[in-house]
Amino acid sequence: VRALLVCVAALAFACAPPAFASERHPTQAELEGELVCPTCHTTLDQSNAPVAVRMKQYIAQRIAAGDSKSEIKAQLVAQFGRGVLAAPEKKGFDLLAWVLPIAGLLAGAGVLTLLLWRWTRRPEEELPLLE
Amino acid sequence: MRSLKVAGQLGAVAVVLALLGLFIWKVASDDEPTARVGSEVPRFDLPALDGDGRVSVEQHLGKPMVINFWATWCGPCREEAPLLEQAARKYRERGVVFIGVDIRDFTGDAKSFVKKYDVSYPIAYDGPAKLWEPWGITGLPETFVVGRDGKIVSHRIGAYDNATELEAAIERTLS
Repeated sequence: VRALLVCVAALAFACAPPAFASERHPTQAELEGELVCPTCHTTLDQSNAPVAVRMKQYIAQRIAAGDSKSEIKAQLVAQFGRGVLAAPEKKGFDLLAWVLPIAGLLAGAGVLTLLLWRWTRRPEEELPLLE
Repeated sequence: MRSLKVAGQLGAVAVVLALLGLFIWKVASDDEPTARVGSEVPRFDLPALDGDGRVSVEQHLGKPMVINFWATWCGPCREEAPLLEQAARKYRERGVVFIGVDIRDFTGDAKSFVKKYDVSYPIAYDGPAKLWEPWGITGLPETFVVGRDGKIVSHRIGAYDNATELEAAIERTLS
């Protein structure tokens, strides 16, 4: 268990600096992959629709101005609504979209474990006694 | 053990019924009225682009209205803007109200557009495009001409090439 905890902590430390750098200094490509064109509903990097082209220009301007990733996303959400986010936010009602699949997996694993436990026990209990 | 099984079955039935209810609700809510010629104009109440109050259909009911959906990134909208402004000035004294709805757009761009084309009529801002589906918008620009009775008399998909068609629709609301 201790080894596992050390591994998890090491992984967290390894992942934290890139995530922090991405938030402070986002690239055009990653933002275009995380935002959706409001008219064609594909990510910006897949779209050449006029509104998508304008949004890409806006993102480039805001990156040059030094805005963080969450600031740029918030500005676009304020203009176009939450529909421009390719993935649901990890807060409020949208958090359910992240939590429910994990909860479903855990519930499924629980049911499977229970069933396996019952199936593996039943033959022992129901074995007829041999004379 | 038997009661647990019955509870499980009841739970499964409840989940199926809930999903069925969700499906019916989704189908029913998708059947919202869209704006069509001859139908009542759908209502809206949106913030004004200039930040000064709100723009709504209700405040102009009883008057002929021209409601134009546009955005700055739409080329035909730019070409059409002078024609609409000219018509708005021409028919203002006869009580015709022009309303612009700037949709899926940056407010900063839209304000520059209004200044550049000297748009004098009220502009509502609908960045998240809340009206897109209820009005059945398919692209930009689209223009609806509404009579005094609140019924849509004309629906133009795309920009007006010249003033003739627009003025003919407006004249029908005045006759």
